[in-house]
Amino acid sequence: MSQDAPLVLRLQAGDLDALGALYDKYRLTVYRTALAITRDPDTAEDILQEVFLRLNTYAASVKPELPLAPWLYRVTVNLAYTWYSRRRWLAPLDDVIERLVGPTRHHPEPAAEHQDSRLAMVRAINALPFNQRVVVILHYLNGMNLQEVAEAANVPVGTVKSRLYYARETLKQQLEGIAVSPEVLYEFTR
Amino acid sequence: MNSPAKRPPLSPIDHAIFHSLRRQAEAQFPRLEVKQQLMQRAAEQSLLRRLAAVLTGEEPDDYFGQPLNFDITFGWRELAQVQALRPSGAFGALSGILR
Repeated sequence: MSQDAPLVLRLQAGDLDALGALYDKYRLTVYRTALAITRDPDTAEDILQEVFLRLNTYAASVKPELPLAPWLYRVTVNLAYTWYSRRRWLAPLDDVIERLVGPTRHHPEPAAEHQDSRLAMVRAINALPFNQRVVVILHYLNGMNLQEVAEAANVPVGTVKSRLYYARETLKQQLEGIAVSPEVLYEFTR
Repeated sequence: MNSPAKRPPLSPIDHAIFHSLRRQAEAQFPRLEVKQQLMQRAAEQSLLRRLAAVLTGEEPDDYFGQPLNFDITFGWRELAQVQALRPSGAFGALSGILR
């Protein structure tokens, strides 16, 4: 039985306190994954809420003997894909609105840190193609192995490997031109 | 006792990606209202599911007896409406005749 089995069983019996307890346990990983993929705090919160609403709706189909985290990651990634495919069509319109009324979205990084080379890396990750960004975030941020990433992203392991390879190559190339401060370099390489 | 398998050392680029993502994520939290909204929506969802079960006759006999586990309770009007909409209720029977 997984650690979450008692809570999942209570949720299956209709206990909403169990949903609250599961939310408290997994909210940060789900939110941070959604935010790293979408780069929009409002969208990440919407995805977070939707993931747990789906857990409530489909609680009966969740197997209590299996760990819950992979199920949550898979729903998070599916919702992020849906958001991305919608956004692709709406993005030009959003850009026009943003140009007319000024930036409205809250960006989490403080302006003073923009020179930081760590932030340069995050920006380079954000500039990756969507499919590559998803596997990079699942693998590095959530510490998932290739098999787990493949299950969450619903692609073969070979595809995960190649996406990670191309993402690493792109990041290497992009960061070659950026001067990395000695402190950050030390942290990266120790 | 077996010692845990030692992981191969990360390359500099792996370190850079790992630490950048982790450091950025550590400072990010969802707002507290998200949980409040979630619980409210989940309660509504459960209520609708329960109502649907009553209306479709999946829970025909015990809806008076079982208390709901959230702070919404049925009044006599709601119960009367639900009763009337059931296939054996006034509206249900009427729609059956019309059909």
